[in-house]
Amino acid sequence: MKMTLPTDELNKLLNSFIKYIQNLEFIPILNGLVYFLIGLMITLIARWFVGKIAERNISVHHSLLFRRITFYVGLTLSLIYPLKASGIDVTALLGAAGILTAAVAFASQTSISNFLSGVFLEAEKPFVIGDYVLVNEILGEVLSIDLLSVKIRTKDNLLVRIPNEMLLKSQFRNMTRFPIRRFDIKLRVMFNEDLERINDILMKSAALNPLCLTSPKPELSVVEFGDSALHLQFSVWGKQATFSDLQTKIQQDIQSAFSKEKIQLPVTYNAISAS
Amino acid sequence: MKKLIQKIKKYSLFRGKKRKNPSFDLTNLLEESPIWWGQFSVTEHEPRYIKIGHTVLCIDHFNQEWRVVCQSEHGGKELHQTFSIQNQVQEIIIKPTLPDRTLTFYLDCPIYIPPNGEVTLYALSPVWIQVRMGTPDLLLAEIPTQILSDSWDGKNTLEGDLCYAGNAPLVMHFEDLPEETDKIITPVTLINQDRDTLILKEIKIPATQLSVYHDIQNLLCTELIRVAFINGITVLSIIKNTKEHQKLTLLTQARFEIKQRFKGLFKSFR
Repeated sequence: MKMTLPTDELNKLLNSFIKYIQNLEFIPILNGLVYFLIGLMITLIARWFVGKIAERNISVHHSLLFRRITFYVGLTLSLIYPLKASGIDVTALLGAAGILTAAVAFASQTSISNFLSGVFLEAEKPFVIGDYVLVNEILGEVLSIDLLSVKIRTKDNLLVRIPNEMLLKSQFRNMTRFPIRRFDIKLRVMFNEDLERINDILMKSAALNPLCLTSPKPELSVVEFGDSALHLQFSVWGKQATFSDLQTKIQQDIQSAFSKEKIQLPVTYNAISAS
Repeated sequence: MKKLIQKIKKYSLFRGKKRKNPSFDLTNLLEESPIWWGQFSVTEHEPRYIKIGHTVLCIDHFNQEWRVVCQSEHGGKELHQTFSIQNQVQEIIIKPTLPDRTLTFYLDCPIYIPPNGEVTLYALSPVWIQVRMGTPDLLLAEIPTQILSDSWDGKNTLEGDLCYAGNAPLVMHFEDLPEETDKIITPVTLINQDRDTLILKEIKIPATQLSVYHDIQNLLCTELIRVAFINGITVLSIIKNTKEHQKLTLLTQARFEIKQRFKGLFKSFR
């Protein structure tokens, strides 16, 4: 059995559609579209302009952030105004947006906290890109300071993502903030060693090592009388750029100087008895 | 010296290849000559050896490849640098210059300068050798004849600048100066115009603002530095208009020209 629409009903549908199209106001819609396109163009130009200024005056990284903010603000305005111009009542839309914002804010507390922490970190600038920081026993170079987190590259080339909130709450160390740094060498010597002689040997080792700064002067201090040895601390200063080299070389120099002067370092013996 | 040159020779570009002159030739060696700076021609396959104090500089080239080797007589690390130069220049220019940072000389014994007193000290800075070539001058290498220890010049460990620690003692009498061809002499006159005695524990030489000259005896020196202490302020001037200065011949310009007098390079304790 064939199913066909009655001709009358088809005609009715067509007529109602034509009536609808005839009553439609094209001009406001066209206006809205034009306003949107103009708004979008202005947004893109503003984004480029803001990016260039931020890049020149602040940093490349911050320019990306400002570009994004400019784009989204511009896009939002470019959408709202044309809708209004088209005759659509945006008040209800804005009202709904407000309720939606509250719901989203409640649901994304952590992200907002991270975002705000990021803003405070930016303002405070405890570190910049390229600095080496120690956060919760993770040492690495700061690769980027983003909206929600900071990316760090460890020395063994791993990427670590640290939420901004965690950074703001915790204590961290910026290892490369200042141009020079002190290196403390913990030593143990026998109780019967002549400390003046030890001091001379250590100072000579530091003087012969060009990586050790002459000023501030190296210092030797007695920390404590330990269980089986005298605990000393020999502090030398070095510049940031060659700090790793200094750590290795000065200890090598001390070790060879001690061998040459026949200074024996104490060995701890542990006696275990089982009964 | 022969052993040292043999050692440098083994790093020659022509190692393993057939050399045109297999026997070692000392005629190019400028021994005992106080004048080691100037323009030198370096023929292909014939390395040039230049003795600067306790340092021997060897320069040779083959086709467009130039090599600079530097070794100290007292041992230490050798320096090898290879350059690729497109033009066919056969001449190099060797110039002395001062280190690229301020030099700080620490006095073992402080010097006491009474009120209205004046003293002139002579500081010895190690030479840095500049190897240049072509027109205009292309700087190929800058080689320190001595590795100086780093030091810090600042009120505290947060603010300041890196500098070098001078290792030669300051000399009070010109006659006591050693005749070393790898040292640059800087005369420093200190004038105490304060009411109290000035205690001097260290002196900083602004090496980057001084030019290098040679006198008629071919001693390397810089301009005179005059430091006046007035009412707790230190005023430093680089003097160029003295009679003695007119007799000097300029070898190398200062790395940076100063536009005005600057303070604070001298430390005193009261």
